[in-house]
Amino acid sequence: MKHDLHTVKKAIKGDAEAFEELLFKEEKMLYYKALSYVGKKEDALDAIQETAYHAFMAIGKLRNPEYFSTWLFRILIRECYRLLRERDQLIPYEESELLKRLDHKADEEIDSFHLKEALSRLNSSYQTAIILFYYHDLSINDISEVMEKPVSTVKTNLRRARKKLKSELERSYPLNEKAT
Amino acid sequence: MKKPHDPYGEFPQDQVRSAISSGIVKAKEQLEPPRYTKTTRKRKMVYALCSVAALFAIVICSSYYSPAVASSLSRIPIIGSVFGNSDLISLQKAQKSGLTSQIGETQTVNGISVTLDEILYDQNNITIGLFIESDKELDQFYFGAGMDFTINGKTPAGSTGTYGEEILSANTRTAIQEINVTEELPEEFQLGLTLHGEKGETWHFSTPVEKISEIHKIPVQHSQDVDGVHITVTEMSISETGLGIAYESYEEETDFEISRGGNIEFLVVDQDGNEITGRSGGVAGERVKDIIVYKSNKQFDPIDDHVTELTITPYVVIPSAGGRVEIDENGKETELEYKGNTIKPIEFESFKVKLPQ
Repeated sequence: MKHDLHTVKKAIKGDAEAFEELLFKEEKMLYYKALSYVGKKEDALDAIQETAYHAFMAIGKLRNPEYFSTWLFRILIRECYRLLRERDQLIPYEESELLKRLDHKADEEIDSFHLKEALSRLNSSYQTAIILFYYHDLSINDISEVMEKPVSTVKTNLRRARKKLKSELERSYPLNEKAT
Repeated sequence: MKKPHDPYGEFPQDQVRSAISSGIVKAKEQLEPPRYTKTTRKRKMVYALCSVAALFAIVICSSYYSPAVASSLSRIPIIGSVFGNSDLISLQKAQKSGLTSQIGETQTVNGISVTLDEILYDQNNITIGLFIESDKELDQFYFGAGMDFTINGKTPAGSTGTYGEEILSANTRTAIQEINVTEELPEEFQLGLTLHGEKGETWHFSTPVEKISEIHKIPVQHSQDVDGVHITVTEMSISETGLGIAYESYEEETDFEISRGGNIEFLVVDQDGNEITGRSGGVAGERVKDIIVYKSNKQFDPIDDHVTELTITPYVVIPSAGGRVEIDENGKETELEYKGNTIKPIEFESFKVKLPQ
C-alpha cells in the first residue's frame, strides 16, 4: 500500500497519531497476514500489538519512508515467528499448496498426509525455512531477518531441508502405500 | 501466498485497532520515561504534595467505598452482566433500565482475556465493568490499582477513583472501576482505557461513551462557615442511577493530612426519616497559597419517587488510620508520623432541599 509520505515522515519524527493512522490503513493486511502465519485470531492480535510496539520503537530509524509498508510487514512476520517460536509451534501451512510449490517430481502421487509426516521429521529450523520460502514466498534475505540467522545459514538450511524432505517423502510413500 | 478458502470469518476491526493502539501506548510509555526522573528538588516537592493529595483521596475512597465494591462483586456469576449482578443498587438499576453501554469487547494477551463488559456514565462517575479470564493462575494484585484512562485522548488534570476485583476462581475474576473526574466533562467523548499486567502486558480499549440523558439538576448554593471551614453545596443531581451532592470547601491550612474539607461527608434523610445510603467519597484537593480547596461530588443510592424533601447534614469523618511516606532525592523512603486522626471535629448545621415533583 502506498502511504502519504508526509504522514510517514511525521510518524518517523515520533508522531503517534500519524503512526496510528498509517497502521489503521494497513489494518486488514496486518490482520490477515498475521493470521496466515499464526493461525489463530487471538495470536494474530497479539502479533499485531507487538508489531505496533516494536515498529513505533524503531520507526525513527526508518531511512526510506517510501518503503514503510515493506518495513512494517517484515516486523509483523518477525513477530509472528517469534510468537510461534516462544510457544514451540510451527508456522501453519496448507499441505497441498506447499506440496505444489516444492520442487518434487512425484508430487502428484503423494498426498498431504505424507508431506506433513515428512516435514515433522525435519528439525524446526528446516521446517520454518521451507514454509517461509515455499509457502509464504519470502526471499532468503527476509527469512534470514525473520529467523535472525545469517543468509548463508538459511541457504544451507533450505538446501539440506529440501534434500532431507525429498528422501523422507520417497521413503514414507512406499511404506504408507504398502500399509494401505 | 495462496489463500485457498476463508476460514477467518469477519474482520474484527475494533480488536485490530485496539491491538494497534495498545502497542503504540506501550511503546510511548517506554519512550517517554516518567517525568520525575529528571526533576529538580523543587519539583519533587510539588509532586510529593500532589501524591499526598492523591493518596489522601485514595485513602478516603478505599476506606469508605471498597467494602461495598467488594461485597457487590462477591456474588457475580461467571456469565452475565458485571453491573446487573452487583449489590450496588445504582448499577443494578442502570443495567436493568438499559442506561449502561454494553461493550463486550475481549482482548487476549499472553493467554489473559480481558473483556470490557459495560460502562455507565452518569452524573457521578464513569463506571466500568470488566471480566478477566486467564489460562494460568494469576497473582491477587496482577492488575495493580486498575486502569489508566484518557478522555478524548488526554489525561484529565484531576480525578479520583476506585478499583475493586473479585477473584471468582483461580482463572477468573471480575472488576469494577469507578472514575470521578473533577473537571467539567463533555456529554459524550472517546474513553481510552489501559490495563497493565504484572508482566508488562497491556490491554487497551477505546470506546465512545455518552452521559445518561435523564439527569435532573437542582441548584442548592447552600454555604456555611464553621470553625474556619467554609463549605458550599453547589447542586444536587438526581437520576435513576443515584443522587449526587456537589460541594466545594476551603480552609486556611497547608497540611493535607490535618485539613478537614476533604473529610466531609453528608447524612441524607428523606421526609420520612429514611436515610439515603452513601456510596463513594472520592475527593480532589488542591493547595492554593495558604488554603486548601476541595471539590467533590458525593454519591448516594437512587431515591424513590415518593421522596419530596431531603434533609442534608454535613459532617467530618475522622480517619482512624493512614500514613504517608517522604521520598528524598536519592529515593530513600521515610515513613512520616500520621496526624490524620488528630483533626478536630466540626458540627455543621442541617439544611433542607425540596425536590421538584
